[in-house]
Amino acid sequence: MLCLGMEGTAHTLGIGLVDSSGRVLANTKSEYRPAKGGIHPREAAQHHGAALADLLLETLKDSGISLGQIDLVAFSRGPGLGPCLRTVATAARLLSIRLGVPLVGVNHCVAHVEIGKLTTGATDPVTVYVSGGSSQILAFIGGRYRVFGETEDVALGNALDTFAREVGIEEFPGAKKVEQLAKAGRYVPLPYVVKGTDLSFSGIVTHAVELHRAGAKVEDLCFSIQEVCFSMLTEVAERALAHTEKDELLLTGGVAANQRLREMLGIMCDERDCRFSVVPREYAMDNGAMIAWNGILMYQAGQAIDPADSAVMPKWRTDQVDALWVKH
Amino acid sequence: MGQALTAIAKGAEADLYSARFSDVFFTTSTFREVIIKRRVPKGYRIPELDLQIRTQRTVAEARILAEARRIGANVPAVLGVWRKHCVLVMERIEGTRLKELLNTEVEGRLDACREAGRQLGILHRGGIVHGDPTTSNMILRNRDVYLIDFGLAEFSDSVEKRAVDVHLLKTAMASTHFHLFSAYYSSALEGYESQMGKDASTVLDRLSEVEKRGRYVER
Repeated sequence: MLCLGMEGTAHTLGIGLVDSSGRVLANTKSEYRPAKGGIHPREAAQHHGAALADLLLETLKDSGISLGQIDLVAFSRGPGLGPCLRTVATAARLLSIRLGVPLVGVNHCVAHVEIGKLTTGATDPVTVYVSGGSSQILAFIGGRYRVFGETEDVALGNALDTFAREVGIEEFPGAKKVEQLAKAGRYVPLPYVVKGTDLSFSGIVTHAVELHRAGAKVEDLCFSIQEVCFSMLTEVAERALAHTEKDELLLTGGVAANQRLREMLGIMCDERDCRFSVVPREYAMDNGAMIAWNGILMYQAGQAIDPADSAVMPKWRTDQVDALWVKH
Repeated sequence: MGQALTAIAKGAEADLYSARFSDVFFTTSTFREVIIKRRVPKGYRIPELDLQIRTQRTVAEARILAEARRIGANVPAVLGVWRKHCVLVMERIEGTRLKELLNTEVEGRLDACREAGRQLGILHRGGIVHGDPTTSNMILRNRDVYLIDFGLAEFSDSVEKRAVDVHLLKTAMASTHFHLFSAYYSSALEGYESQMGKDASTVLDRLSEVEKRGRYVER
């Protein structure tokens, strides 16, 4: 069985082709880049709408697959930016009806975990999913991926990007530049905000920006904001491992590219004798292959939907999805 | 003091030891046994931040325990805080954990549940949330229920956090003591309401929201 997966929850439009053995035949993307500032939802949706047909044709051409070979269409149903979700969902419904194949609506966050399991061989991990739009610690318990800890306000990637913009770093996304500058920095105290198992990043950004206005060095703030935020995340990840008694940790999402975050989670896992895997960058960023793969898993578990009943779910929570395909 | 310490638990954040009071303080007291809680350094954190976090938490836990005692809750007495080494010395509460008690056929289990709920109510009314009030963290000594392990506790009047506390107690009762769950839980609520009065219903309303989100589900 061959599934076409379409991702479009935020600034990335992704298309993937995956078969039921887990082989990825194509994984292409087109990214919306704001001229300045953060993502504008309408502009991102317009980008997806304009780029979709060409990207699909390119994907088919590169993989040598014809539309007629596709057995299933999956799309990112949520959570995400409404205009982006609707644009991509419309295309997915049209393809499903036109090709006469079933349609599956995939949860973006769950798809990140499933592609992580597929590409790293992890079987039952605690997952740290950190990106521009999400920061969650997840574990499969009682039929669903439960949220063991999450941000109370902005996501980690968003916090780092916002901080970067506020202190005059021009690149987008700024988190990458923050990592570079941090190498030359020293620690200045910042608030450390873990509330039980929840995290909060926005106050840290505000505080760091205030210190910058008061004359603190950008390098020091880059170093400190990373140390504090990553320590918070690692602490909650460790608590989730202890609580669930699982012995695998999976790191995914755009922020997974950060070497210091990997190092910290790696040390924590070593100290606990826990297996640590990082999802390869191509599959850690938003991508179409993860939607296609989770689409196959859901379809095989009988979770296809009727196009007439496939409205997008911008606030769809990870723990609202019955993961019927997971067998433990 | 080496041999006098017995390791009793290793948590994600701290190691726990028990010892005789006289072996720690070189004098006798009505407290015979003590618990020593040491927050351990974490290799993944830079040393400055590591020390900042462990010190703050040790001091905060001592403050919360002291305040809880002041407002009349049954909690271990703080006997010493060694700030520099992130060590807390507390009274050891001898007795039966509620978790074990509720699984055995003994008299007075419903009274113990009522008392557990009442203790949680005292904390909440006094501006403290426990953070992990499962039946593993409740000990019956004579007829009193003591709350222990304030590692996740904080000063807070948040309805959400109170609801999560109640939820954690409820879940612990449901998961370990299935057949008698509803009797246990209604006794606990009775005790809770006796302290919280009208505020209890606000918390219970929020509880149903918390449960719908399904994030604190136990295995």
